[in-house]
Amino acid sequence: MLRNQTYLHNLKDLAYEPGEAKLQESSHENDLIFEKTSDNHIEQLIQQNHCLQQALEEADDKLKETQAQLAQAGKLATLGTLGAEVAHELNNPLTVVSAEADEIIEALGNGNFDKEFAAISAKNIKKYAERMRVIIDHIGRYSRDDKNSAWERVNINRPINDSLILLKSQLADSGISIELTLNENLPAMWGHTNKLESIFQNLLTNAADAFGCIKDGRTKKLLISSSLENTNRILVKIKDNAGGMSKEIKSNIFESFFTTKAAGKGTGLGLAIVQNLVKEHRGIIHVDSQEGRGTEFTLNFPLERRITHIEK
Amino acid sequence: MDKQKKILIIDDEETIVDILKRRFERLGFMVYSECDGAPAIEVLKKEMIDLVVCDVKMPNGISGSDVLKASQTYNPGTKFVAMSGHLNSHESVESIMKDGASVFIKKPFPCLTEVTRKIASLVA
Repeated sequence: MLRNQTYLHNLKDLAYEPGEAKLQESSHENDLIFEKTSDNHIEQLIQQNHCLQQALEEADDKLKETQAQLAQAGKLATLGTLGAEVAHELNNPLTVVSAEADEIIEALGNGNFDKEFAAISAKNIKKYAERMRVIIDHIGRYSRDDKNSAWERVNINRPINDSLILLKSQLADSGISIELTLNENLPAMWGHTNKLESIFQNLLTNAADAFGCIKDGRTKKLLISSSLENTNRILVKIKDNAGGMSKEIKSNIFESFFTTKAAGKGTGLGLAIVQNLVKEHRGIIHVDSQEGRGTEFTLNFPLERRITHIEK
Repeated sequence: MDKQKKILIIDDEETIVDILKRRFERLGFMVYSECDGAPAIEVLKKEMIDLVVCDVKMPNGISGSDVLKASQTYNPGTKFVAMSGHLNSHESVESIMKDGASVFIKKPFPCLTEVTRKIASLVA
């Protein structure tokens, strides 16, 4: 409403430009006609402006809804890809839990129950059940609709580490070694844990996929670092030594539905979603890539929720 | 068991290695265990192992197939048991069985006692 009032005021200002003021001086009658016509014109403009504004707001709402749906679709696609990895991550602790329970059952059946051995088995059951809980909790958070989770103070290292819980097995299976250099003394930034995790899941999955076509026997490395910049910004770098990309591909990577992956493998949404989520954090994403040598994504987030300018 | 049989257990999950080690020791085996493919291959170079129990997918670039090849090179005739908890490992399993693994066991084990008895029976 306030915006409309301001706009009305501005329109009236525009209607009485210096050139038109001459009419007022030359003829009182004309002046009245002019004022009447102007007022009608202003009313029409206000009406049109109101309609346009409504249409714009509706379009904006629809755009936000579509973006949210795309983000959700992208997450589900990533979850689908991760399904087998998640199963593997759960199967190992499940093997321990089940086998240790068998140990206790057998010891009880044989009458050879040794308290010390039973204690080791019980502790392992507890430890690995906890590991499964963390994984399941993580999947739950990742697949949940973001509408109900809040913005809060987040240490950026947490979503980085949580993303790796699900991906480390996939990366290890692909022979990719991870070098983590996380600054442990980083201040918490204003962010959304689920959205930050989505950013890292997508970027790390992308890096893992980039190594897919590397067959020259090079040591596959993924470097992940977090640091503080200028005391008020968080810097995260994800660097791989895979095949890199051409200038043409680089210029399109943030476009929705742009993918270089085989049909059915990539949705083409991952990096578009990443860019949107980074923007929601008022951050900047930068990509540096050299064909044949690798790619580095740099994410730069402000610590605070609102900033008036971005230092270069 | 006339002569103590030697078993080599390899899995990147240390606790799984520990559990299998306990079981096979109780079954009378001399147990060698590793959590990585490279040191496991070193064991195969030095020791005459009767039975290898190995995870198919392992980190650090050396897979179960690599260990199988080393086993065939340094310990020809050794029985090889491949294990995996990976849903996507169908191709790797087919490939390792084709390459000469004796048995494939899916993780998690349906029953530890049955699984270890079945493995032990390969060299009985």
